Amino acid sequence: MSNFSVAFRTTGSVTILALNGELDAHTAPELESAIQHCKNEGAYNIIVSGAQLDYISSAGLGVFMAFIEEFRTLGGDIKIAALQPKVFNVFDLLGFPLIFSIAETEEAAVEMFSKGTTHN
Amino acid sequence: MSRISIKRVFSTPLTRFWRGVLIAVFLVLFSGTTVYYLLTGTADRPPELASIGFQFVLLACYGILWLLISDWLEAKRAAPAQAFWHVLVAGAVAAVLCLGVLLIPGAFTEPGQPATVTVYIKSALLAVVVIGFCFILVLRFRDLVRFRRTKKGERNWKLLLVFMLLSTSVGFAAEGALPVLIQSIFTVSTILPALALITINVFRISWIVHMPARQKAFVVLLGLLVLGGLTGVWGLPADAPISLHPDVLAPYLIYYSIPLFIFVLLSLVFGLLYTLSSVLSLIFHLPTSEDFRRSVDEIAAMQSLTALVREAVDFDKLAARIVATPVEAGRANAAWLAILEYESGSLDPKIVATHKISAEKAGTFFNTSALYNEVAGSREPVVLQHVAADHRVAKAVGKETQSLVVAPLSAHTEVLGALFVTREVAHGFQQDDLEAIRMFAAQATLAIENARLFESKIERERLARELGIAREVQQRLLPQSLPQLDYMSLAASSESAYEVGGDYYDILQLESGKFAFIVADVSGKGTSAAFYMAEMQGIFQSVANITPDPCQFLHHANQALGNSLEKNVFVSAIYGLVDYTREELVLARAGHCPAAIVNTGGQARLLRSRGIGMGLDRHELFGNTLEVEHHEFQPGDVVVLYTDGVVESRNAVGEEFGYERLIAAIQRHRHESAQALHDLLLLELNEFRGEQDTYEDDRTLLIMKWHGASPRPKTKQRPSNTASP
Repeated sequence: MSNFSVAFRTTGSVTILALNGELDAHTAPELESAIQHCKNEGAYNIIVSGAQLDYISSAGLGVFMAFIEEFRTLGGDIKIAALQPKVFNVFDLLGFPLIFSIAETEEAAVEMFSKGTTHN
Repeated sequence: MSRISIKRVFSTPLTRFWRGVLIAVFLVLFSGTTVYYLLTGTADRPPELASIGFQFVLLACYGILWLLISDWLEAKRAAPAQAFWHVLVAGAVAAVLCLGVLLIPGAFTEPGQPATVTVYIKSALLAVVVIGFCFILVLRFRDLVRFRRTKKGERNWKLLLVFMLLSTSVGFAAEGALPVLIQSIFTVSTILPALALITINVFRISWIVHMPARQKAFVVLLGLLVLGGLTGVWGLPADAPISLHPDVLAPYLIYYSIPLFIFVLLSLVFGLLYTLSSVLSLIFHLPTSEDFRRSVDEIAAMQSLTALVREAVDFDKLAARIVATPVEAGRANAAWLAILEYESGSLDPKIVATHKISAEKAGTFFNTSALYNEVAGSREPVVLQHVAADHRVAKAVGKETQSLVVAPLSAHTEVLGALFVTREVAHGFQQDDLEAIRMFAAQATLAIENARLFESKIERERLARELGIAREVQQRLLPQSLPQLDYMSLAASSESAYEVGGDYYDILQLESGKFAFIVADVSGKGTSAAFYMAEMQGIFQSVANITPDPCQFLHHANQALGNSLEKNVFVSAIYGLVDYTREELVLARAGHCPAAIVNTGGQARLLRSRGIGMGLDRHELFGNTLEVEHHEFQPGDVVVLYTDGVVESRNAVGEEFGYERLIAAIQRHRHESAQALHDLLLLELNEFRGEQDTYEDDRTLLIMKWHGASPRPKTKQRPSNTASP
């Protein structure tokens, strides 16, 4: 039924969550539990890849906000990568690029981790 | 007075008047016939023709007696047991009276010899007692025969009475008034049918079926006493002058009237046979009556449970009824009900009601969870015929619970719980018990589901009312009317996806002559968003007047919201000021959709200044990154503010309305008034969306159209406004 899914991948110390479909109020809990899972596993370096993400609502954006502070306190980060233009526009309008590291590609995001660049 | 009519006289109950008349007539006829005999034929039999007439008068006399007794008994209709009791009492009274009459000195000296006066008086008295008893016997058994009335049954009973009456004609013949051949024809054509009808009627004993078992035993006893009384008279001495032996009584009756004697004989045969058939049937019914009672109880128990399905009752009452049913139906000695907690969603069933056993005992002796899980899995009852041998039963299990059946309450999609029933003997449950218990469980399931549906319906209605109120309150938080301005016209609307939403717009005329406007969108939808929307309204109404500057206002708002917003909730907003004197628009954007400005020439601009949503950063970043945008008004400029519900509205194939369509639409309708432009934009949006009744997201639209500073001074305008730089 749900047209949203999260796929896990690991590259070195970085966990990549590849989103697929539409992230809205109904599907947000799935991403929430996925990130929660990473946190429980001690994977604090996360890249959320949006190559297959077709839509995001404000409730979907809220998921990132719910975790970012905590991950940064734990020494990790949530970076966002490979967003489609339309989805990026939503992130951009809200000013997410000022808070999150948003990379054009997953590789670029991974590189950011290896260089140790974080926001703020 | 009342008209005399046969029907009036013979229909019971008799009126007081006619009862009196009949009693009088009976007494006159009875004494009259006796006196007539005394005067005419005490020494010998009266002449034959006179005798036939005399017998008719006698029959009429006793016909009246029948009517009187019938009327008397009608007034006190008897239950089956009482009928036998009445017959027994009447028999005893009759026996005592007969003995009393026989005590009068004077007897038949020799057969065939002329009788004395006393013999005739004795005959008359004995006749009235014996016939009276026979009437009571027949009339009381009539109530039993007609217990369950059918057309055929009624006919048979009437025919019996008719043929018994006709049989008396044999008596006329016996008086020697008719030839032998006719006498034989009379005998065959009346007595035989009467006997046949007696046989038919004595098998009408349907009252037995409805009698409780204990009462049956009692009626058997009464019936045996009646039988003993009726047949016992033969055991009495036949040669003693004072005896109830038929040989002693019969000569008196025969002497008095042969037709009546025949009636007495037939009545006694009927009474005897009816009592006999009743007693025998009762005896045969006794062993099965327990089963019959059980099935009657079962139907009653089922009915009381079924009644609960229909009415809305509180759950405790329903549960109590469910556990009482198998016990009342005689299918168990104790029962209890364990169900899954409806609200908490717990997977552990809880005992909610017990009958004839304490919840504590039931819970300690039996592993409710394990037994429930088994029946929930298989959806079939579990039968433990010998509980002591089962590992789910405590060793210390009581004597009163030796066998157990656990029936699942199996609803369409889930198993609601289980009904536990026990018996105090091992192997206490037979196949029919299991079927009955299965049926109880099915009924219980239905009742519980029904009760829950009702409950949730009530709850839904309550919530709908609450949301309706919330919606009204929220509507009042939005401007009830927009200010009427000379230099600018305004139009706005907001629609929630649900009853309440997170969109907000407002206009506030400031003391400085400027006015402040805001369009905000709380992330998410529904109730939680609505609360933050209300907070936003409070902030706008209070802060905008004090610090109208866009950057300062949004900074304050961000701080205020930061204290209450959840981590994953944020508010995007556009806040701005319209300065009439400077013909200028100043606004700042906190993560909100950019404002669209279209001038008269159709040139469009999206004011996309920097700024992050409120609540996303609660420190310096928010203020540091916020930019202000200026726009100098030209007459005909249209400013369109909106929430993402507008641009993200989708059509049937999933396409978004988007910025291009929005701007194109504004450009097309830029010459319209603010209200017309607002309406046309919504119309285009709805046409794009197609046949959808509701919005998938809250949407708000605010249109401002600049007409230009009027050359006339504003009526409300203060001199200081124009003077200020």
